[in-house]
Amino acid sequence: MKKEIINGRQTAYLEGEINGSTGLAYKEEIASLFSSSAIVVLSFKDVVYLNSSGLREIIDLLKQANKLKVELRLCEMSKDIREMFSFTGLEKVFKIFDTMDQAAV
Amino acid sequence: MNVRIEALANELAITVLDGVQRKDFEEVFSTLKGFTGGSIKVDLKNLQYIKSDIIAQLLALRRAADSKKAALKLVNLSDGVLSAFETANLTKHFTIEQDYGSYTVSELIELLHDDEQAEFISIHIGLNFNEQYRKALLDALKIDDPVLNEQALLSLGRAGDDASIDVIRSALASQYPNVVCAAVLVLGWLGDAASKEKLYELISSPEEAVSEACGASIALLSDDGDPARLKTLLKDSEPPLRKVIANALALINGGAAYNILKEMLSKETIDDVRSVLVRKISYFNNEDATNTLIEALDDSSRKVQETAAAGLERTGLRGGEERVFKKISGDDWVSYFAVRALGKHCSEKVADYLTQRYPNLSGKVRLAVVEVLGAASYCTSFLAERLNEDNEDIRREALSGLYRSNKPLAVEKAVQLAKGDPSWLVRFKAVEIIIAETPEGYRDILAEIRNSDANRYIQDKIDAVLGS
Amino acid sequence: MLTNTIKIKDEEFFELKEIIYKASAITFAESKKYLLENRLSKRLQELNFNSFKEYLYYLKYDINRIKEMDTLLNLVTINETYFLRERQQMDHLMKSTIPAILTRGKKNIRIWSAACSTGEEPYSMAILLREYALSTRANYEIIGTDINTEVVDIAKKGVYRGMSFRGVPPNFQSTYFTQNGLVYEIKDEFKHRVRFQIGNLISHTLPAQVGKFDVIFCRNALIYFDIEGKQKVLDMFYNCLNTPGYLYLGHSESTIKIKSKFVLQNFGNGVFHIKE
Repeated sequence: MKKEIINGRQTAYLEGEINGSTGLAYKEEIASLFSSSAIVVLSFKDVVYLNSSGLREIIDLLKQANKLKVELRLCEMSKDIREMFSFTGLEKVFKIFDTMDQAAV
Repeated sequence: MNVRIEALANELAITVLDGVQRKDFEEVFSTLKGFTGGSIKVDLKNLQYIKSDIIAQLLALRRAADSKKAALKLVNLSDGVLSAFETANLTKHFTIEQDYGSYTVSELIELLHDDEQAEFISIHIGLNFNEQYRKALLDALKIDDPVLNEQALLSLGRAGDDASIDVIRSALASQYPNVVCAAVLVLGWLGDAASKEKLYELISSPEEAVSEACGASIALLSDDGDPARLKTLLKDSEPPLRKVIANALALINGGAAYNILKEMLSKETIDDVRSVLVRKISYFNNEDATNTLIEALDDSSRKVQETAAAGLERTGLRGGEERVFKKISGDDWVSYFAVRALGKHCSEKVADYLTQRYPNLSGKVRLAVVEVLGAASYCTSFLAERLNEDNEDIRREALSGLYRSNKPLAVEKAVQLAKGDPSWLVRFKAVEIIIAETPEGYRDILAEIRNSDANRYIQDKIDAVLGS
Repeated sequence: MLTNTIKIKDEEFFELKEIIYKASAITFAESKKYLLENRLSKRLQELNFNSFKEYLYYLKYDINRIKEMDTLLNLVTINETYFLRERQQMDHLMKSTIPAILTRGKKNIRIWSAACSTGEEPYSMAILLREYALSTRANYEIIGTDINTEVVDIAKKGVYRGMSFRGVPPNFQSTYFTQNGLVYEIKDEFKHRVRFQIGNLISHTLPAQVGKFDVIFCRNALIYFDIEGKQKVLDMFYNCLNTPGYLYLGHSESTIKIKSKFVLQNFGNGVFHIKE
């Protein structure tokens, strides 16, 4: 997974398919960033597929972030990915931004 | 004194109270004289409406802030106050923001009643959750008020508050559908697998919103067994439930869910439901899904054909171009969506085909062709010709296309069109391009347009760059 | 709630705003952009559209465009309301204004709910007239009008769901409504007291259609008009009122920049307008 610091913010780029098993792997890798950053931005730019199991891992990530008082921000979602969040009501649970510029401030 | 002033190191926080008078601002101005910080915040949360002499004081405050190079913002404007600013055309002179951080817990809970603000407040509570909020939200759930109950549940859910799970579960028995709906969603967010049985009962609810929410939450809580379980609900089902099941299957995704959806499509007799099934099939990333959509272009229902064509834009054509070419004719929505699907990977072959067909097409299908070819760099001359067409949307679309594929030419044309096109839609797009690309002398060009163009959207757009 | 919200771009917002304005004189300020997004996203998705641009094409070029204009106006003018909303104004009407009209010996009192939405406001008045023991002291005629054809149909039926009863006192539903499964139907006594009509506040024929009134309620509707529109509507209200006549606007609605012959009077934490 590509990770970089943009405007001083820790960012990470999810890629390809996010289902139960890839989601779990991503979760562990991203959670390791929580100890060192107050805000973590996840880009969905390169995500081609997301299902409800993958979504559940992302919810879990948010829970962990909340516990550690880390703010998790999501950005650069395609219309289809974004629909997954709205169909489950999660659109209003996460902080979702259109662009990386808006998210990494 | 109906103004409260709090001077922090870098921020001057002014809270305006109900019944404020003009003279109350004297102290604000005198405090400001000695203030050296960079930002001034005026909280208007206590005002339901605002008199014009108070607005005048705020304008004076803005000028005073400007001269000290301090940033002034107004926060928490009620509808009444905001509409007074809008009526006086002053919104662009102030930075206006919502700042829920300046409310107390009980004020915020009270504000949850306001349907227009509730969502934003609930998000704020979710992000700033603590023991005090938990207690206030649980108390709010005890009051017989469906709007408040709904927002309290959603706030607990946004906060990920597992500790309140029993209370959230018990809200499934509420008499108010909106409350049940909120509880269902929150249990899905919290991953409460123990509630899944209950959701399977509620999914057949005659309240469509409740049923929909159950479908979504079951998907979030799903394991390998759920596609088959959802299938068993199809027996003797009503059409709305079949739509809910289709949505849940698309969220779960994967082979098992796809096969059930495809079988549902083959048996479905109601056009409207078939249309939903076709739409949901477009969310599957496999070759068979593309084929199923292409076949659905021949469905007996116009609506289903349209949905299939629109779905192909999502799945891509995977070699099905020739079959889709045949569907393009006249001025209908199937053709419109089919053109867009073709344009998703606009190969030279597709571009050639569309350019050839263009003269025989009409209306919105032409618009789709222009839009699709706008993304292809080898269609510059085709697009430039379109700038002379009679239809304003075609001219605008062609200009946007040129802007994507050939910026220098687009800027040149934009300058011409911004000055001379009869349609403000085209002129607006042209001005946008000029502003984004800042060609040499653009400020003079904009100033000239500002003087001659009577359209206020264009004027505002230019004013934002040049200053009014 | 589970619809994906489609974002509207500036240029699309301006164009749609112009189309709505031409058809209805209703305007949407920049701050109400999200209202259009929220109320129209579902409609766009029904039509398989992913952007407002496509919806604009539909409104401009489709053979069904005229019918779609009605659908559009119905969607953007829906005002969610509930029984006894902003109750202080209604209490003031019952406690002070109507008794004042009665002392002048009036036997026929006409009340207009000028943006009645789904009917909760005029029915609330009919119910309160009884609660305040005023119903037998004169003949009352309550007229509800709204631009939105769909809400007027709902109002005429008088059948409501739980959400319409947020904030009502206990026993309100059981006293004045008949429960039928999940829904509540207003009792005939109150239903017969209110008449509903479709009416656009900007239309020249509206005054002739509705007649003269002693009281007008028009809450949370003026926000949809620009200054010129507000001016027209307030002038029209003035002309439709008997003397004295009483106008109640929404508690947060400002009439700044509008010239009116009304005299403003305070009560408790609200204001009302009098034609003297």
